[in-house]
Amino acid sequence: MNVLLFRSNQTESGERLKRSIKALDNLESLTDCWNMQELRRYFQTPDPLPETIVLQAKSRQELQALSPFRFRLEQVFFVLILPDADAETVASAHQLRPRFIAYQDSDFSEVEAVLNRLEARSTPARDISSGLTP
Amino acid sequence: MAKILIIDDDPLLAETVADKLESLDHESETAMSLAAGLQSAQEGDFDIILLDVYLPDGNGLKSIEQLRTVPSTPQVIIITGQGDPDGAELAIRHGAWCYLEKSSIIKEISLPLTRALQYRQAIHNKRAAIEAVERDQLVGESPRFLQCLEILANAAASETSVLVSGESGTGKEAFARAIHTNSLRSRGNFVVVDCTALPEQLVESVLFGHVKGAFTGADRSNRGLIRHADKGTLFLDEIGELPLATQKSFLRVLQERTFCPVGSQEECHSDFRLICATNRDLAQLTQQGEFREDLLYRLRGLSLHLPPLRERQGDIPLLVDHFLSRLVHRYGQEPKECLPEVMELLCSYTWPGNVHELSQAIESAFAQAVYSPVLFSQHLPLHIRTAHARANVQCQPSANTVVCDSDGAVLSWREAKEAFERDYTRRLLRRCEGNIMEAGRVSGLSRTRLYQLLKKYT
Repeated sequence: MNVLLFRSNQTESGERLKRSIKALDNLESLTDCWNMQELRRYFQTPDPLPETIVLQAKSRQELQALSPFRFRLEQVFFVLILPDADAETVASAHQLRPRFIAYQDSDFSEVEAVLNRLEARSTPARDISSGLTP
Repeated sequence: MAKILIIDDDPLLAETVADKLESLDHESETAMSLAAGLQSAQEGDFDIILLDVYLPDGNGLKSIEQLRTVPSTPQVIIITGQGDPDGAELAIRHGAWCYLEKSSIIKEISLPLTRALQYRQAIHNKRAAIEAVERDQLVGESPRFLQCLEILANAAASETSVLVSGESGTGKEAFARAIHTNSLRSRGNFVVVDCTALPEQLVESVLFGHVKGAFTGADRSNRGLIRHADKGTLFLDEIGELPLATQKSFLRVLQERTFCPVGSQEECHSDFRLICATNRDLAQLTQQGEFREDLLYRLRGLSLHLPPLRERQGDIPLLVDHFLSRLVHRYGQEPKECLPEVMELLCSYTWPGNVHELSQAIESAFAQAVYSPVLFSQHLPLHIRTAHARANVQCQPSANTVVCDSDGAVLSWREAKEAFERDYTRRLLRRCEGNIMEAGRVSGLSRTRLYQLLKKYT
């Protein structure tokens, strides 16, 4: 699995999230991104994105700043980490159309479990023919 | 009051019919020849045309289709002096509303006229409902697609549960969102639950929420997605993947609209509208005991089945234009021309991944053609071009099992195995139209093994 991660590099939560992603069973590549300018560069070119994107919004303002990227996020499996569970934050989050939502005070084990399941389901069935090769 | 055009060369009959129509509160106009009738129909705004068969300048039956396609799209009622069963059949086949004999027209015209006008009103209402739909990303004008929009309009106007079915990539989520956007709940949240991605142990806490300490790792409480959907829409994507135990709990939520978060006895309420999507045959899953029948009945208040893209190929050029202009706008580039041969190639491909695959293909081509004002077929993904090339080459028949060489001598085990692998790999690729992901899925081969075979034999 290839993951683009946008997180805060100065918080314990951001570090915890990165550790969870790095612990994924089939992680092929992790692009770790810390600031909005860098993230914008990924979204503003038509180049293909990794199949999974995890975005951690540190605040409601940062969450709203993600909205111009919504159309690109539709093409990938998108996990959104919210700063809080206020009704307004949650409403803004659903506008971005994430496939899974978690909160920044979580231990992110659920994010890890979801991404592992996703990868397990997308991997082709076991190669039964290889055992027949002389 | 309706506007009616009488096309008949008998002035006396035309006047009598006009008087009758006036007595029924309708306005009429008369044309004495087919040419004059066609011109009036083209210029006027008629609801109904009463058309004679034998006119001085032609046969009315042959002009029904032309008359029905004028801008006001009127219904056509045939009026004739001589009753003729063949003529009546021909009239109906050409799209006439009905066939009346002149001898009884004054007595009999009232009912068919009323019915034709009611039908016209129903069609008008349907069109108005479809036109009023805020489509967002829903692009298409094919009859199959318009039928789906009609169901969407009905679903948006109601509160009933909707089950959207169709192959992967047909746009089930886009339709579900459009139902929400066009409904009275559009100000509420549209909450997506991706049932495919949720591990069994997480499903209930994600849906119903949990209280702090409900299980290991529950360091804080979580309201759950059902409460996020309060006053909005809950969209369960791939509902066929929902574990049986959760199906039972969810059925209770649907019946009572109340539930308890994991680890809590306190009942919570949520006023949500449910839309589900699936690419699986839920009726078959119920027979296999993998899906609850009572839940299925609850889900399909309204059913919306989306056709695969190969069954609405006429929409492909519209979709290509839509995706291209969206990309041009998004990346601030000059419009790109899609060459006719590229469009032809796109229209001839079968799109197993449906609209989603087409969108991805156009995005990929756009990225390839970033410095080109024109989209060439070389910009398209390789698997689409190879599928097109293969489809244009006639296949040579080959034996299913290769045991002997061309001289009839038995091959060695290794030679026979290689011959089989070569034949299998080529057939597999042809069958999957060059789509490597699909080839992996169909064959059960790992990605590594598949690439080894491709490298060796193609």
